[in-house]
Amino acid sequence: MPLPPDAGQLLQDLDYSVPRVSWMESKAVFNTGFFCWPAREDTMRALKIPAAHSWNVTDEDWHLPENWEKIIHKALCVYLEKFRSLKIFMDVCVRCGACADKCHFYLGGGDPKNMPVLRAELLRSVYRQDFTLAGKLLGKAAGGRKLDKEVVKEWFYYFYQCTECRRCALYCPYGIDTAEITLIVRALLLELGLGTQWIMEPVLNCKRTGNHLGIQPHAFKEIVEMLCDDIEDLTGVHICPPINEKGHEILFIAPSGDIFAEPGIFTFMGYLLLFHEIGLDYTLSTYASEGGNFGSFVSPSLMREINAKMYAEAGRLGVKWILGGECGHMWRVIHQFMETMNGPAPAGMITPRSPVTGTVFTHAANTKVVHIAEFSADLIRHKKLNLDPARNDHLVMTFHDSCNVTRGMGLIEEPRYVLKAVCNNFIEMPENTIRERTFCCGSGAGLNADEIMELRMRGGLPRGNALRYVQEEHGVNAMACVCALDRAALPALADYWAPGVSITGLHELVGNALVLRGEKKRDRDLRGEDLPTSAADADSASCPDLDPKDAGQGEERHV
Amino acid sequence: MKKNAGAMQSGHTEEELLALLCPCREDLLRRWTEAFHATYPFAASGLLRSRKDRFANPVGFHTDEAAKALLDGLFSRNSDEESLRRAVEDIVRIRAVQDFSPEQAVGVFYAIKELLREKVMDSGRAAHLMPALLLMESRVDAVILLAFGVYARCREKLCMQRVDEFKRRHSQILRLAEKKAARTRN
Repeated sequence: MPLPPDAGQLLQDLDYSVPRVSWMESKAVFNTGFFCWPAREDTMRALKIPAAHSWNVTDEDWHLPENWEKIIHKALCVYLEKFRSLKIFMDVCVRCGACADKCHFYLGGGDPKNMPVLRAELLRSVYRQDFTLAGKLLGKAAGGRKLDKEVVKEWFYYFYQCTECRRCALYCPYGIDTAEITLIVRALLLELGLGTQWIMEPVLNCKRTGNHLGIQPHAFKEIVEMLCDDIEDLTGVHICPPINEKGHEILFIAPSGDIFAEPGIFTFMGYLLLFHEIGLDYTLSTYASEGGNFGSFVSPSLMREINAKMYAEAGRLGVKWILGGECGHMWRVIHQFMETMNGPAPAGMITPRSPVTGTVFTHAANTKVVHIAEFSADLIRHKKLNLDPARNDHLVMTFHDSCNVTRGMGLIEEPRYVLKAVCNNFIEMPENTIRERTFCCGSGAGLNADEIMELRMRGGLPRGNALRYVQEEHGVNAMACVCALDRAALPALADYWAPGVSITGLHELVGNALVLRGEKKRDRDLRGEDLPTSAADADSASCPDLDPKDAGQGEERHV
Repeated sequence: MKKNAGAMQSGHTEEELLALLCPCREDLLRRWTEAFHATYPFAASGLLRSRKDRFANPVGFHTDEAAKALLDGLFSRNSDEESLRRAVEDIVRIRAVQDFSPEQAVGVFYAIKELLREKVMDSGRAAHLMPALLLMESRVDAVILLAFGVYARCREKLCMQRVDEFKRRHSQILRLAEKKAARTRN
């Protein structure tokens, strides 16, 4: 093995010339830490993927089916026919490059094939070659290239380095949605039996047991009861949430990460406290125990199947409407696809109406699903909650806009409204890193696997960089979010880029600030950690008389 | 940085060396950051070089900051070591998760040595300035040692994060299992 270059060589070897190999000829290089483990054959067979087989990413031969070119060609034909948007995205790009430096993976690593324009070109070049007259006649001269096995490998490498966050789409003058292109390419790869275990196993679990982790109904119930024991220990309030019960007004569906994983469980405890306090008539479900939808990362049909459980369970239980928890892609699926995929909602469901304030959520008239941040913001707006934000005074908060709810459904102000009602210290991150322009956590769309921690940290650099800035400049020590994938991924991101910043869900903070009727003296937060002394002292004296008018007055500072 | 015995003895040549190098600061900055940028793919170097927004171009920003802090550390008698340490940490933390081998991630710091030597050799007073140059290079070595430590800690952290994440992900399942096991034992 040659020695690394010495100081002199480092300068002599500088090369500023255009690469001699064009992007079409350069091959994907698979380094450990930057690709996910392949889906197992038994998992794929159970999901009835026709070309299920055993393969290894680092092997030369991926054991593709014999007629693999025909399979791809046929499937792409179907998708082009079915989704007009895909055909437009293939034809309309003028390669202006407006998207190029907007992708967090490109910003973090510099690989040109992570520019959204070039990533899309990996498919577009094949489309041109096989589906356009110019490409058929002129081939490479018209931007076409032949589909070969190296192209398939390249697709696997780069389309699993896209988190479908859609930041690039925001800047595209044509609105080309790279997330849809990524979804289709991943679906094409599935046709060849190529998927990742991190995505396909949760999809299978979701179909079998109702949630990503494959937790069976009895264990689901026991874990909820365990969390209720924690709530009673911390607040003195006994809660026994209904599960799978018919005849309630509302079905509450949360991402399962909030029930099984830290720090999501503290958000779940916040939901339960809120529902208990306002006397909400709701039920949980073990069949629809997953708001998340890993199918949406890889296949329109799997997305549809998993999403269908929401309406099926709502119909079976006879609820009037659905309240949804803090999740990311769950909301993109609900907001953008659910109605056309699985609608209309079951007969008997109505336009959601808050039983506490009477507010009718007309924007959800079609889907019948309301986001809990909207629901809580409405409660606070109508001064229906007794809140003591001083209990969160030990936190200097910032807020991470989760890509899917922000760009996918425009949920931007509601979480901030709630946050400012339950916290006294709130600092925004820089403007070009939040709201519609928010940077991804780097782990969405099925990329929160631990085997690609390096890739995730690289993709999380722009977000971590902004977080580090407010940490250093303003003493921010906690970041809230409204997405379960964020709650799973951001602790590692924060630990790497801004050590010392903790990650919370929005309703964990609500749960801490909520002054409950009949509660005991609150001296610990939902994590079991000591509350600020002043807040704990104030509890005993001021809880019953706390003026709800004060809610929503938290300080906000911009940087 | 603390001065060693050699540094104390060669104080006057050190001043002469600084008098030679300080006017070249901008040129050294430019060439060293170019060496940094050249470690990235061709298509990324334009972005790294041109976008000055620290949030739209974090890699370029932190590269520039590291370059400035390094030269300040070498050229200033009263340099802010804390700033230097943080700038090195920031850029190495980034390079530890990019497409670099450990040698590539940290080794690019060495380029500054060659740039300093070039200036000294071209001055016509190389022999006279050599003791001070060697001392300055020793300081570069100390910075590279710092970078090596940061890189190692970053990689170690990545491994620990995988373990921690597994624990967080399965926290309630493990808790339930422990609870049931305790019940069985009793």
